[in-house]
Amino acid sequence: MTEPLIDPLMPFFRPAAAPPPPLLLSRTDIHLWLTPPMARLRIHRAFDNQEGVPIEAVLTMPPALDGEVVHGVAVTIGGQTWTAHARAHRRGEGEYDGAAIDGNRAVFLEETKHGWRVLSIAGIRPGERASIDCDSVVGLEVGEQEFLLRPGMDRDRSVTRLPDHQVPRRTDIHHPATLTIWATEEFGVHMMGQDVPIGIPMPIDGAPLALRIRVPATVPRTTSTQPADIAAETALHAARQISTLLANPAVVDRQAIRALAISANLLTAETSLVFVGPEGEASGVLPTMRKVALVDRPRSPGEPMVPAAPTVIPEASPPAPYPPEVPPEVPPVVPGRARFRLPRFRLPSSGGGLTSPSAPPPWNVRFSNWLRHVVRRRPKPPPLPELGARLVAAAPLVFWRQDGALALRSGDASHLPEAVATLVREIAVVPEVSATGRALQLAPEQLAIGLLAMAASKHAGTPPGLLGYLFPDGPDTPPPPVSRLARRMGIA
Amino acid sequence: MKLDQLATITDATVRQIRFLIAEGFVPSPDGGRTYASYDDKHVRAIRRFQRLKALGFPNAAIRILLDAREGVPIPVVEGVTLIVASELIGGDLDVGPIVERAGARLREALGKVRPKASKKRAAG
Repeated sequence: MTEPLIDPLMPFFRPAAAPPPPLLLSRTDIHLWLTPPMARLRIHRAFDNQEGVPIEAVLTMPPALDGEVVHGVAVTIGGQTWTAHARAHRRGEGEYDGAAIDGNRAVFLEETKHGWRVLSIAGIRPGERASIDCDSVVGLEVGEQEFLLRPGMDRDRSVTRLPDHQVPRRTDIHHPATLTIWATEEFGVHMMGQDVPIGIPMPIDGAPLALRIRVPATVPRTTSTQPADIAAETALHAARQISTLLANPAVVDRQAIRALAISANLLTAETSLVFVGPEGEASGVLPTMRKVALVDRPRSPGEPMVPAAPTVIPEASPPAPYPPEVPPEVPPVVPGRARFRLPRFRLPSSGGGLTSPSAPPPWNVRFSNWLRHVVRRRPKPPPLPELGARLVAAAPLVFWRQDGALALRSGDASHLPEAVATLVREIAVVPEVSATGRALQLAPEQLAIGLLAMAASKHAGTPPGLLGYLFPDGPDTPPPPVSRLARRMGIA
Repeated sequence: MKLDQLATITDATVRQIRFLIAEGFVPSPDGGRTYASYDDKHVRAIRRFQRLKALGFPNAAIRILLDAREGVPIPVVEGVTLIVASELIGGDLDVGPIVERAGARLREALGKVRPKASKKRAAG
């Protein structure tokens, strides 16, 4: 029986190896400080390296607030905190890559398309917990304003055509997340028509949050002396200066813009935030890159953080009962003595009477068939060396890159030229070949094609590695039964 | 060769190569992760991924095709699809002879059938 033509789409219907699972965040805490003329945001995210090798974690995230200015990122691993500083993008990328290859600890936050950010952290050892604190700031004026806060993914703000290593990973597995808003009592903060408590952590899920903030005119402008507030105010001021420079229709002074961004530690399209660990701490081990996934689905009320085991869905209707067992017909017991009767032999009907198709042929026909098979000896196949020589002679007739590869993959000799296919089928019925095929759980015809491929290797110009189609585990060393058979045929 | 040399040869970024290794599209470096070195098989694997990507296959499809024995389907025109063994892709083959043979095969299968010249009987 021949197989149908190879369907090129067949691979897409098979289950494929799944990509490596992403890292899941274990905690997200968002703090929003309302201090006019600015609102300062800090997002704290944490995850664990649960693998047995050092990893490089890559987190691709949308802007947490529209128009925010990112001015700081700090990463804490094993109780030690590292803060990244602004550098020119290309230079910072080169420094980070070099450190990551050497096995150093390194942090790199870069801006990509449509305001999305990619944070890479290299050198997280097995079992270590990494915590990320990302600081940003937006302007906050008197009056009522709306902010869309994105703790996780935002389907309305997707980005396409990113490089593969920057493509975001998503998950629908939730983790504990809170939002805390810090402000004085005069502020009015609403979310979905409800008041948001001030200074109290509020549990949230990964869905974007629409915040309506009312800033009364009576609130005095604060002049905080806290370093975080000063850094945020400096960053906001520098970002406004850069906007002014970019809005100028004259020649844009890139050097001035870059200097402003670096001095205020800003994340822009031309500057990235970088930290590279000291050379002495380099482990020399190349970390494995793993994506960190963000939550992409709002959690329904009552849904647990960790997904529960799938519930067993009861069948809609009970299975149909088996048909009642019919007792076999028992011939009626005839009273009296039982008599032994010889079986009756029926002579072939000469009158051409109709018989049932399932009825066995008459005894004389069966006997003559049996006698014919017993008496007539089967013809002996040619000796193996002769078959091997014919294989060597026929091998150059095959176009191996196309027809031969197809025949090897499918086990169908029909892909080969007619004369070669006939020879392959003749070899497939040889008892030694069919027995070897059965031992290796291969179709005899496929094994015969494999022997033809081995014979082809005696000719120059045959593509190497043909047996890899048949024996992917060891294309250069076929299994011992095949090697023995090939030696006996003289094609090894 | 080192990772930066591999990146220069294949015109890929260092991080892109690290991603391809992590996702299994490119084999792990020789010499372990501590003394990582790369050779021709890494160059071929990266070029194979780049070619398949340029043909429009997403990463999930590339993952399936690299495991498949049927080859990679490359549509040419409607009704004609080339099937190329995945290990040939990215190998920088000389495609000239292949194109000639493919053209001959296609002409045999799809070209116009020319009527044979009929033998004229000799007059008289």
